[in-house]
Amino acid sequence: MLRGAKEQEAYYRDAVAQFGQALERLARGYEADPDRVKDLLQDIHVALWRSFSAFDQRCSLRTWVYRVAHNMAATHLTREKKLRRQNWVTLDESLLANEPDALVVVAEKQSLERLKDLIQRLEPRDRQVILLYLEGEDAAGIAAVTGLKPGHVTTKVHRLKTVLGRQFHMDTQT
Amino acid sequence: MTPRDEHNDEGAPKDLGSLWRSQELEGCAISVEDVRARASKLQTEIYRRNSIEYVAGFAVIVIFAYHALNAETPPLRWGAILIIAGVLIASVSLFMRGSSNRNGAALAEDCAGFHRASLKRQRQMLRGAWLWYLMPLTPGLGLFVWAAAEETTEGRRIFIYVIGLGMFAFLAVLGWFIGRAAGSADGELDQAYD
Repeated sequence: MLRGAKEQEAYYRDAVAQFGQALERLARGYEADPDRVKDLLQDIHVALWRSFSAFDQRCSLRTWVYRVAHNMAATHLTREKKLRRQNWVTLDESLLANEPDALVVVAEKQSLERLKDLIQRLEPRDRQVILLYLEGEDAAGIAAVTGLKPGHVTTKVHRLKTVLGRQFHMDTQT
Repeated sequence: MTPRDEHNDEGAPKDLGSLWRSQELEGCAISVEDVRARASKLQTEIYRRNSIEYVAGFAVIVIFAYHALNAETPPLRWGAILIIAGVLIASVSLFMRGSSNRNGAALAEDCAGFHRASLKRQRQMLRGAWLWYLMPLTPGLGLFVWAAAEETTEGRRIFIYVIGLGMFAFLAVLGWFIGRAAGSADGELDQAYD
């Protein structure tokens, strides 16, 4: 079902009004380079605009916006990974990681930068969970966006809290 | 609020969500008009890329249509006709299988579904590449090369056969690389959002 241009624009304006800041934070979670953050954010806005021509209310506006944004950002990330040969880690690998030198460096940064460093090392599916968690989404909301089973989301969020707690606790001890 | 106030007694930030949501933002300096213009430009770019492939196919058809009309022997004529048929089959396959995964409804799938669909599409394109794009050209190419070689002198015949073998070897190697890429897509699909 295709929406008319007026409806498409109305949904887009509504989405930007409600989630504009969240989208910018999302872009910063996927891209460290400030110039590329702007490009990614604009790509997300274009994708959102295009998507609203087919908005069929299969989910809430919030879930729709987050799905489009994360899918665009993950596509961007995968493309950049192939170009830059980056290596991501999962939340489980973060738990097992023992990088004292990295922690010494990380400890010198402000909390927000430490958080961004951690996020930008994660592979896309764990990054989606952590970013939604930080935006205040509950397990059901995270499951609706990511397509993961709610139980799986709960497990990941638990691991996430462990990783974050351990990372910041160890940082402040160095 | 000082950085110390953000931390509990163990040194961990009290509320990482609040910390994350309170970061300074620059704002997205893009108007609705700009978004509309960019979306239109993106669509044009997609059409342009697809058009290049169809134009290349059309050029091949024109060249071999000329050969078919001016061929001196039936095998040469039928070789050219089979090549034209092969290009048409490949073009139709391309049209039916190629579609942007960035259309609106596709992007609004949940992340796991979107990722799986992308990988499936990639695997399907790669697996089908040998069957739908390379194979249709093979009969016509083989007949045309043989017919062209038989019509010429002994010395040039060997040269034409060498060129023909080179083309088939190239197609075989290309098919092998495509098969490897399809296998890689299989692996990614198995791991995707398990």
